[in-house]
Amino acid sequence: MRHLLLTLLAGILLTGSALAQGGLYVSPRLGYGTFQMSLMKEFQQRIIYETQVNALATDSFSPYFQYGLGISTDLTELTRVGTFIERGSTGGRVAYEDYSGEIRVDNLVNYTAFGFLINTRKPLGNSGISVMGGIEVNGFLSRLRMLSYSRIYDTRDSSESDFNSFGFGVKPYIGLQRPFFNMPVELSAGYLAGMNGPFHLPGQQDSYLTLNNSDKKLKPDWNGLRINLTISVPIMK
Amino acid sequence: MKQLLRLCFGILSCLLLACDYSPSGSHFEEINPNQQVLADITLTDQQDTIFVRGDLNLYFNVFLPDREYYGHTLELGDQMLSNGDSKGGAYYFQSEKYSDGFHTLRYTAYIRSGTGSLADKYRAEAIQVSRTWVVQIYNSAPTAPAVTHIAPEDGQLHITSEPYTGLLFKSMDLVRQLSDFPPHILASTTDPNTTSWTDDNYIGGPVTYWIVVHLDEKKYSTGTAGTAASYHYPMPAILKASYEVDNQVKITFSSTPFKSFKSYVLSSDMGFFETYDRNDTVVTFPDPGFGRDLPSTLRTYTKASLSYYDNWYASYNTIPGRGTAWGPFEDATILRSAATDRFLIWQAGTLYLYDAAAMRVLQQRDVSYQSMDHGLAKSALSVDGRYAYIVLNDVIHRISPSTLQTLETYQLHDLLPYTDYNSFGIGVSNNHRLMIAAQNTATGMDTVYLVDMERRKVLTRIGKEIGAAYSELSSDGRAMRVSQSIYLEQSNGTWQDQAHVTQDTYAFAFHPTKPLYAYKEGQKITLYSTITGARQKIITTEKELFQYEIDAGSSHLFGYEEKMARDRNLYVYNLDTGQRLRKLKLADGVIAFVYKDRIFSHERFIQL
Repeated sequence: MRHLLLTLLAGILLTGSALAQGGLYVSPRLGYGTFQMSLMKEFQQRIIYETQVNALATDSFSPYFQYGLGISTDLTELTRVGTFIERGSTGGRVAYEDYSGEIRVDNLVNYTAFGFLINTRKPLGNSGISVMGGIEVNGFLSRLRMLSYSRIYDTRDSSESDFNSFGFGVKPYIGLQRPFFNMPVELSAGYLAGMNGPFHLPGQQDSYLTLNNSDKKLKPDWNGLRINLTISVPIMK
Repeated sequence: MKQLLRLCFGILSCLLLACDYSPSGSHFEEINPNQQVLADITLTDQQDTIFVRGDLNLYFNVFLPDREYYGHTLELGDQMLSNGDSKGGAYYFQSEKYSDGFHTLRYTAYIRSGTGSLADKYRAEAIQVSRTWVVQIYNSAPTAPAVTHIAPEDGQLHITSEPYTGLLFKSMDLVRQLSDFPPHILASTTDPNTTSWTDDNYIGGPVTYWIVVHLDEKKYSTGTAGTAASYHYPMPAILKASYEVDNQVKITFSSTPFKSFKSYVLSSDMGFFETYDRNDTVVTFPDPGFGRDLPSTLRTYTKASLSYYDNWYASYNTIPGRGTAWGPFEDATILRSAATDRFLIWQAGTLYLYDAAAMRVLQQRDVSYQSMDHGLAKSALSVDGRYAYIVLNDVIHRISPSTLQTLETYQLHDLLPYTDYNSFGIGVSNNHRLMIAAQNTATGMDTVYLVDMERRKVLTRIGKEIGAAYSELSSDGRAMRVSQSIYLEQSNGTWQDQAHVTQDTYAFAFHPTKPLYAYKEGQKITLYSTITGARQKIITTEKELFQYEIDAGSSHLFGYEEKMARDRNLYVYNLDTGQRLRKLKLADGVIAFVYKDRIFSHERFIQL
């Protein structure tokens, strides 16, 4: 998966440099967002039930950072298009401990997204601040890593499993842009909405996780608010 | 530009190694590990200490209400007896697999802890509830006490033993084995500390005591015997016997010091003696007679029984007869040759050549036949000792008088014209004439033949009705007694009946060294010449002699009167003077003969 991304990235850069008429920007970005993860939370409750003890979901897919890198170019003076890749993650933990032992089940989820963005801006007065709005469309390669660990007195047991999921998302956003040291900095807020397939065994899409013995498939749900900070570093003028 | 690219790749690598979310929460629940357990474990019919000998069924009752049961273990010391999922309600305990002594039996029940903890929910936590008992194993064989000391005390035997120090005592017995009596229980007790016993009916002899202990259990049910000890005080027995004045026999025997004595009884052919006095130990019997050893029994009677059966102990002795011992040749035919000093003795199936001077056996031959057959003599020895004949299986053997080996054999038909006889007897003379006295029970006619063995010729035959077979030949071959008649050979070869009238077969006897025969009429014995038939001499005997004979060596006449076997006397007369030389009391059933200067019985001889 990583090789693919690297090849893609290299392709984007080269294409970008070939296409660039106006400026070509490399934009690292930092984001922070919330995640709905409703089915995963339900999954945690199921795990709690299965432990037969009063386990608690100590971490329940709380908001976390995302990191990304994009390449963009100005289509017009006020419109920019680009591609990006982004990595985000969150996780959940079900934990229980007493004098006789402990149980811990961690569900670590992350995604690698790559997509396209387009935005326009409108300058406000002379301050250099512009109001901008745009939309991003991306595909998700999500991964669930389930780590379980149990100990009863001195007997320990642990296991680790990985599952994959595919999906896509759309994020409309608005924000402000202001150049710093000739590098436009954007601060935006948006809402990501998407759809994802079920977590399945790597390479075997027919072997997917279900919530319980019913047919309710276990899917990630990256929907949620996003706040984003992007610094566009021009590399060609 | 370069910085930009570096920045790019730096950010790129950060992207790829980005810090993913790592959960860090924990949740601890306070659970109380302590539990109150209501439990009871008991053994049916057993207390806190269990005594075991052999095998025992242990029945466990496990009371654990409202508890989930995981399993149990049953241990003896550090050995696992049983374990498993079940409650283990019964166990067959074989105590012989373990050593004697005290052991700890532990029953442990494992139940679910019920604390609600993680381990409890996953059935990995249990509570152990156990109960212990003390088990005393006693499988050893009982050690029976030993008898340590035996000593006489106050006319009784005092026996000391060890006390019994083990467990399960039921009773113990003192067992006595006296002389050759079977062992029997002398006393019993139920006190294990008994160490002192008394034997109040011991009077002497080898005695062995031991203790048999009985336990209150099944394994050694016949009782276990301890180490025995022995004691010996000589039983009353005949110490010595001597011949006193007038051939009286004085017997001295030993006494017993023990209180249980009741009486002594001495019995033998000489008589019977009984006394109740412990110290009365010398007896004198009158003359028992000559000719036989005297077996005697000394019985000592006790006041109580010596065994289950008897209350007497017997000591057996043989008091030697008078004179010197020889032979013995009981129930034997003893043919005597004074000229060569030899006896030809036929006893049972063996023929002996006996040297009467040295008094020893010279030769011996196994002939396997009897020497007499209904009174018919099967052996003959000439008076001068030169000719000896025996009959074996109706075959006449001439045997060597020095080696006893057969020199020649003759069938009857070799010698006689007519041989259909049931049986016959023989006699031989100094001139080698063989008398064959043959019996025919079918016709009732017995015939006596006289055969000259040198010329193998029948010299005469005398036929008679039954009884002729009982005949005798004189030593010179010229006279014969055929039944109750005397026949003398005449000069013309015929044989003349001397016409004595008597029914007594024992009326006649031939003189072995002179041509005389004797004829008895009551107490009068007349000697006749066998040549002329004329009367030579008369002697008178004190009593009428039942059977008499004349000894070749001494020419004395001897015989005994017709009386009961125990009252006989042997009378010996000098034929020349008619004087009685000896009247000798004979022992019961003894037949004696005079030979030269001695009187012989079958086992003793004395000087005449």
